Amino acid sequence: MKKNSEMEQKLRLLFQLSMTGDAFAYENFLMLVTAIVRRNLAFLGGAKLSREQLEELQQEVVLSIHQKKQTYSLDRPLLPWIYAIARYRYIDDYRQKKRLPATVEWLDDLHVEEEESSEGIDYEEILGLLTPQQRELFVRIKIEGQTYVQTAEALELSVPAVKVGVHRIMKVLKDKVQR
Amino acid sequence: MNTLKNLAADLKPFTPIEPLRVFVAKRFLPVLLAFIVLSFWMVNQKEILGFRWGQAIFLLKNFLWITVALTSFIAFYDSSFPQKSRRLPGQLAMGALGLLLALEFYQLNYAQLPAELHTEMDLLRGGCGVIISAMSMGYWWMLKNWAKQGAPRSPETTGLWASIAASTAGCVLMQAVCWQEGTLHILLWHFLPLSLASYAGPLLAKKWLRW
Repeated sequence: MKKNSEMEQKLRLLFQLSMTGDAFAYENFLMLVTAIVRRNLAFLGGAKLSREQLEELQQEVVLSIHQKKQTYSLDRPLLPWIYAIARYRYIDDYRQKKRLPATVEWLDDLHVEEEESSEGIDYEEILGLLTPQQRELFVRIKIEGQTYVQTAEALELSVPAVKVGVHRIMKVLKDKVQR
Repeated sequence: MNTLKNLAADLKPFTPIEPLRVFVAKRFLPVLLAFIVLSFWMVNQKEILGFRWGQAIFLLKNFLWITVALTSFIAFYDSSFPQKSRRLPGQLAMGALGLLLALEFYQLNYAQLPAELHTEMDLLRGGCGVIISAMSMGYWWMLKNWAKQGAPRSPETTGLWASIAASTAGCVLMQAVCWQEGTLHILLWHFLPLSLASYAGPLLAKKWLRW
């Protein structure tokens, strides 16, 4: 309990400094949040999550916290806010995997087997759904197999921006597949 | 670590979500006031209103409508961003709404029901439903836009509370100024828009409030 309240105070202080644009405080805040999120996800997922899945989900949650940082109300405790976002992302991820198991594998394997993919996937159609920037990201990451960092450097973007871009592409493709 | 550095590098000064009291003062009370003015202007029945102030049942019903409006508004606020759930506002809203419905059904004259139903199928009487729907649609849209800046964990729930809050705000005022006092009229033309909005709100919110 005491440990939680100390952590709460520390996080609130860092968050309040971050609100003024203090990047150093914000980085520290995110480092603490990452550790908390990791523990929380491990608790939520238990043995069901592999190390890679945990890592991926943790990044998703931290990215969501970054994107939705303005939704924290200063008159409420901070830790439940972090847990709520982690839980939301965990459930969202679980639902997506349950709903579209074949699709997710299908998208991940796009760059592996040319012959297999040519049976059911129309590259022209997929690329036609995307904007020029999204197309560039898709080709680099999903077809050429570049890492986020390589793509970010090549396109002069930040890594989170690349991740967000890929996330949006996946959403577009999932919507298409669901229809 | 690199990702965190990049995220920190993206940081710009920001303002967090407004606290509940500011939210209510800025987005609920002005709308309530605007609705009162609008309703008085549209249904100019001040004499009837003056006569009604003496009736306990009228005061009780209006108190319940205002309770539903305010508590559903708070429940909407709570559901619009990630936070530890607070159940009391939602429970109070549902309790007050249930009590209102029970009161209406208790007062319903079942023997006269077919004749009353025939009377109520009149365009002029249905005007209340149209006014409530129009007012609540505008308000719902405003609440939806606000919720879009948040991060609702369950868009359907947020949509439902937005619908109830928006429709009830309309009902509060029509309840006060409507010249029809028949129970069937209230059930049909005041509760029906609320029910329809409660059905449509979550469906629309599911489409528009994902993050």
